[in-house]
Amino acid sequence: MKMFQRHVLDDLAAYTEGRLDPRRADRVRIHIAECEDCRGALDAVQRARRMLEALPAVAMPPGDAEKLTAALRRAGKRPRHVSPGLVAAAAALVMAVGGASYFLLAGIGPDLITEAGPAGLTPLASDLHQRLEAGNLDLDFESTDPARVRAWQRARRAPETSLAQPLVRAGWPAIRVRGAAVVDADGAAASVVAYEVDGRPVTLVTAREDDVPERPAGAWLAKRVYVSRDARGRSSLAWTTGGQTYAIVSTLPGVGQTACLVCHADQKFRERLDRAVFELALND
Amino acid sequence: MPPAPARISPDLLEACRRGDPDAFEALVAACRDRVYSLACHLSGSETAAGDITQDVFVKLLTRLAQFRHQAEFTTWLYRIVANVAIDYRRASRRLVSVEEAAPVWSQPALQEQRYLRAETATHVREALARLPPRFRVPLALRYLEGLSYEEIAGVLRLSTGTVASRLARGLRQLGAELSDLRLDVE
Repeated sequence: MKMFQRHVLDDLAAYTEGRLDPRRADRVRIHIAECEDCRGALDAVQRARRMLEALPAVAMPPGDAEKLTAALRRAGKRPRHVSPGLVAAAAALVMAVGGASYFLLAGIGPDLITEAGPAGLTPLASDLHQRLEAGNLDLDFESTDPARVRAWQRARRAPETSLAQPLVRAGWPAIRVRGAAVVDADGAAASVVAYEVDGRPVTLVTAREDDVPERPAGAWLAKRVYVSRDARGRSSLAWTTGGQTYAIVSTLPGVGQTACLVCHADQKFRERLDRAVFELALND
Repeated sequence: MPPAPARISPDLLEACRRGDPDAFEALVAACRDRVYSLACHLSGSETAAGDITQDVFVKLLTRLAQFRHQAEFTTWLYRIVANVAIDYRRASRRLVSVEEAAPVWSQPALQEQRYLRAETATHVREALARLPPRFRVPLALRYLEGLSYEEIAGVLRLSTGTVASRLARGLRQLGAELSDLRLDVE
């Protein structure tokens, strides 16, 4: 193989499907003729494709299909107007078909709100998240140790974030703190914490409540958390508590709720959160 | 290449959005097996596929009012299935054993549909289920569900270039895992 030729591995699926333009297809063909590695990869691609295409579809077992249909029929089937009755019916559906009994979990969960709320720190967090992802923003302090990040925030007299030591448990998302920065939020200091949940970047921004006039209202007992999703699939969570206001942005599944576990490292909180998210899914 | 997914008529969707129970039942009947099949392929387990399917329809039941025709319905539905399946796998964090997976592929009702011999199909499905989601989902949508690159890009909110490279890398990884397997068709 000529040393200056680039491998064509990423083109191989499109090549086998005739999707490449003639010039690019020629380049792949010529390269494969000379490159043993890419020829081997092409064999693997073709083998896998043939096998996948020869897999049959799988029908739902008739008994399960009947159970699902019957349960849906009982559920009232009025998707437009979500009423407490429908929520109960949908919960009954989940139980009837054999799913997890989320509703048996005890405790008061956060109150997740999907209606548009005060902007708070969400626009700033969204912008910082994008800049961090694009590599256009450097962290002021890099560390994977939550205690060191908190100590750095304290030393800078920046708003502190109650980062917990990450838990490593089966079924628990992998959380890794990357570091922190302090940015300007309309003349006030805001703390930024960058971290990852299961390898996906998350950005948490914190400011003092009084520094953000249009912030989500705090609440007694259940925390009121505003959730939203932008056109790029990024979720944001925004809330106010303990004299500080917060926003988290990520592309995590659901409403990005697993991002909360960076501070709330206990099983009960996670269960309450799961329940709240499930109820939200039934209601939204 | 499998046939492209059937389109759901706008009239049926509109009737569902109005809350017509018969229309919703017809919609479920039209989508159920496709949802279940994709759930099987993404999760590698019959138990998981049942849970995922019910979860998808609960979401469909409560979110249909949000569907505004900006996206093709099947694109929207596939996105829900993929997200639920990935969340399910993330929550369960385990791979399916041969013993557990085998009964799925030997359902008597499916025997007429089989293309690969059952044992070979089980190996292929297990290998697919072991791939990371970033490869597993595009492969299933393309080669099992027959979506175009553009449709997959819509479901996963990726560029078509990224879809192409993930398909290539996923196929290569899968092909390497299946290098000892013959294409054993019956």
